[in-house]
Amino acid sequence: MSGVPRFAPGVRLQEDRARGRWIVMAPERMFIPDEIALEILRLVDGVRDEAAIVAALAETFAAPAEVIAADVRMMLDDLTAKGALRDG
Amino acid sequence: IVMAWKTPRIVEVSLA
Repeated sequence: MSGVPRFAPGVRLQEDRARGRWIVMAPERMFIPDEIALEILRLVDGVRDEAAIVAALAETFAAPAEVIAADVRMMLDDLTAKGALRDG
Repeated sequence: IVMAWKTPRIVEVSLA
């Protein structure tokens, strides 16, 4: 994953109001992100590329950009391998 | 507000 990540068809980020959390709904399964993962997923809009996502996070979080970039890459790659994201 | 960073975690749940 190094291009523009986007949610795969049939996959969406949505609020689970009953349980007070956000989830990624996918066919036959769902993903429950922690607060950091959620911040990353909010930036997956089909427009921002991976570098833009990292830059946006680096403005908000107190961590070296390379640390954020490595974690973002790992998470996006993992979700892509599981079919929740695609490299658009 | 600058927040602390930690490695993101995602739990996968089978709806079945």
